[in-house]
Amino acid sequence: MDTRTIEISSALGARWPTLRVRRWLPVLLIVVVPVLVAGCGRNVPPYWPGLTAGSERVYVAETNGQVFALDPSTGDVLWSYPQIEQSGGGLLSACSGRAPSDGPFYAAPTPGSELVYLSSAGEPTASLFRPSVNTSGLRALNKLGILQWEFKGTDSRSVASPILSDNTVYMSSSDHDVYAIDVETHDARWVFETDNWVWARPVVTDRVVYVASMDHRLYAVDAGTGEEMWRFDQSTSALPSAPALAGGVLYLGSLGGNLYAIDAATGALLWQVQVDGGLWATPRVEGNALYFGTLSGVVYARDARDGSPVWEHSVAGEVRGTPAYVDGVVYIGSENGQLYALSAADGTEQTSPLGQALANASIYTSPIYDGQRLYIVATNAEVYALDVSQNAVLWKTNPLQASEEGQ
Amino acid sequence: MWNTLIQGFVLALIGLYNFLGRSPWSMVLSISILTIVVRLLTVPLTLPSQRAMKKNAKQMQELQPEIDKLKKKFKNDSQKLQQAQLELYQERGINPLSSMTGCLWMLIQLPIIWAFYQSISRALAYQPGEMLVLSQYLSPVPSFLSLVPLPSHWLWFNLARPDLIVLPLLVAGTTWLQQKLGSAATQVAAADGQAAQMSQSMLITMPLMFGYLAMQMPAGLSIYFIVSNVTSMGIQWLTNRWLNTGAEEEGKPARRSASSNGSGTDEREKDSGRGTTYRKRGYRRKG
Repeated sequence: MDTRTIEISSALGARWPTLRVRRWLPVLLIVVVPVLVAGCGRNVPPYWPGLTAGSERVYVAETNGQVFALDPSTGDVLWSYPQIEQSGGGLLSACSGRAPSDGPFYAAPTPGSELVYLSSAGEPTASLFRPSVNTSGLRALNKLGILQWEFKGTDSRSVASPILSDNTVYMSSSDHDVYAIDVETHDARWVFETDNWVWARPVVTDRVVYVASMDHRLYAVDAGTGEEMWRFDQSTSALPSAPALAGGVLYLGSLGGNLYAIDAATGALLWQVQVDGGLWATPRVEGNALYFGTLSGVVYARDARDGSPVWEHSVAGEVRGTPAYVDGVVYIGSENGQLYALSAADGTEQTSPLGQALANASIYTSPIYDGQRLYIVATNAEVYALDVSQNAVLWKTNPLQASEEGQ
Repeated sequence: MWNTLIQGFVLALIGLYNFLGRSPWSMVLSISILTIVVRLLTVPLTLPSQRAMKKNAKQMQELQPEIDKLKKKFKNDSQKLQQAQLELYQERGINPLSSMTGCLWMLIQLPIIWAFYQSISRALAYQPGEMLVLSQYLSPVPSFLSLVPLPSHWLWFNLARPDLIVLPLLVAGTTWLQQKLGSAATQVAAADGQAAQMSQSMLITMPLMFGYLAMQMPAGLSIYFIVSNVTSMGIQWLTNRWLNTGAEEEGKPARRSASSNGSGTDEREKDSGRGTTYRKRGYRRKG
C-alpha cells in the first residue's frame, strides 16, 4: 500500500471496494470546513442600499459598496465610484469575493452645489501580513464622479449620510464621534464625542446640531463650537435614527419602540408613546401628523401634538425606512418587497405604483420623491422611478448589472 | 428550530450579562460561564465516543504486532492482507468501526456548539443589519433591548473586532494543549503508525489554523475558543480518570482468564494491564 494513503475499507469487509484516501485528506477536511464555516458564519447582510434623488442626478449606494449616479429621466448609469477589484489575500476572501477599492459606501450620498459627499463604511484594517489601511471617513467627488478630496480623520465606519450646511459637512461615525468638516480646509473644525456608535445622520439647523447616539442619548451641540448645549437621556434604548424636526419639536424613535417628542430648544420631554416594534427610521412629519413604520411591520399615523393614535396599518415584514408623502398618500417599503401606498387620512391601502411585490428582495430604503418621480431601491440592487399619479413604472434599472455589461 | 436554539443562547448570554452587572467584564464572564455550561452539557454526548475510541485504540494496540506480521506476509497482495486483517478482527471480536460510531456521537454535539458560537456572534452585533437581527432575537424579552449595544471594549480588546496577537496566540496554544491531551488519551500514537502520523499533523495544523481564524474573528469568539479549549482539557482529564478506572475494572477478569488457560495472547493482555495500572499510578504520584 502507498504510504501516503490510508486504507479505510478493510474494516468494512471484503465485499466493499477498497477505499484509499490521501493521508492528508481527513486533516484537510477537518481544517477547511471550520475555516469556511467560520469565515462565512456572520452571514447577516450588514447594510442595505442608500438613495438620494435630485433634479440632476439620482445617487444610489448599492449593497456591493459602490455609489452610482443615474440619469433621473432614463435611469442610465452615468458613473460609479469606486472601482471594483478582487479582494486580496486571505483564506476567507473566498466568502467576500470582489470588493470596492475604496469605502465601501452604503449611506445615501449628499449632493452639494458642486460636489457630492459620501461617508464611508470602511474602517482602519490592521493585519500582520499587510500594511494597515484606513478606508473610513468622507469623500468629496465632483459631478463626474472623480475624487476631489477626502477626510480620513475618523477611526471607524460611518453608516449615515453626511449633512452639508454652511460650508461644513457634518458626519457621524461609529468611533462614537460626530465631525464638523470644513469644506475649504478639508479638516475637522470640531469633534463631538458620545459614549457609543453614532448611526444616525446629524440634524443641522443654523445654530444647533442634534446628534442621536446608540448610547441612548440625544445631544444638542453648538454648530459653531461643538460644545454640548443639552442632552436628552430619558430613552430606555438605543437611538439608531435621526429625529425629525418640525415646529420646534424633535420627534425621535428608539430601538425599544418608543417615540419621543422633545422640545428642540431645551431638550425637555413633551410626550412619549410606546408602539409595537422598534423604530429604525426617522418619522415623517406632515402638518399635524406623524407617519412611521416599525420593525414589527406596522405603519402608524399619530397626532404630532400629543402622540394620540390616528390610524395604524399592518404590513408584512419589517419597515426600516422613512415613509414618503405625496398628495395625501403615504408610501413605504417593506421587507416582503412591496411598496405600500396608504391613504394619509385613514391608512387604507391604495394601489401600489410598483404593482406586485418584488420577488426575493426587500425594500428597506426610504422612498424618495423629487417633485416628479418617486424613487425606490430594493436589496436586489434594482432602482425604480415611479409615476405615482399614473401608478406606473417609468423606468427600472439594475446599476450593478448595467455596470458589468458596460465593462 | 435552529434559530430558536440561537435565540435561546442569545437570551441566556444577555440575561447573564444583565445579572452580572452590565460591564465589559460581565460580557466576558457571561461568554465564559455559558461556554463552560455548554461544554459540560455536551459531555454526555461525547463520553460514548471517548469510551469507544479508547477501547478501540487499546484493542488495536494489542493487535498491532500480529497486523505487522500480516503486512510482512502479504506485502505484495493487499486483497489478501485485507482479508486476513478482517479475519483477525473477527477472531478477536474487534469492530474497527466502533471508533467511527464514536465519531457520530461527537457530531451530535456540533449543532449545539455551533449554535452557541453563532449566538455570541449575534450578541456582539457590530453593524446595522446585525443589530436588527439581535433586536429580533430579543423580542421575547423587550426589556433586554435597553441593554444593547453590548459593551465591546474589554481591556485593550474590542470584542466585536479581531485581535491580532494575544488572543490568537492563546487560541493556538490552548488548541495545541487540548489536542495533545486528546491524542494521548486515545493512545493513538502508540496504536497505529498511520493514525499517529495523522494525529501529529493535526497537532500542528489545528492550532495554526485556529490561531489564524482568531485573527479574523471577533475577539469575543476567541474568548469562546480559549475557554472552550480549557474546559475541554478539564473534561478530558476527568474523563481519562473515569475511563482508566473503568479499564482497570475490566482488566481484572481478563487477568484471571489469562492465568486459567496460559495462552501467549492472554499473557500479553496481562502485561498490558499491569503496564496501564503502573503508568496510571506513576502519573498519580507525579501529580
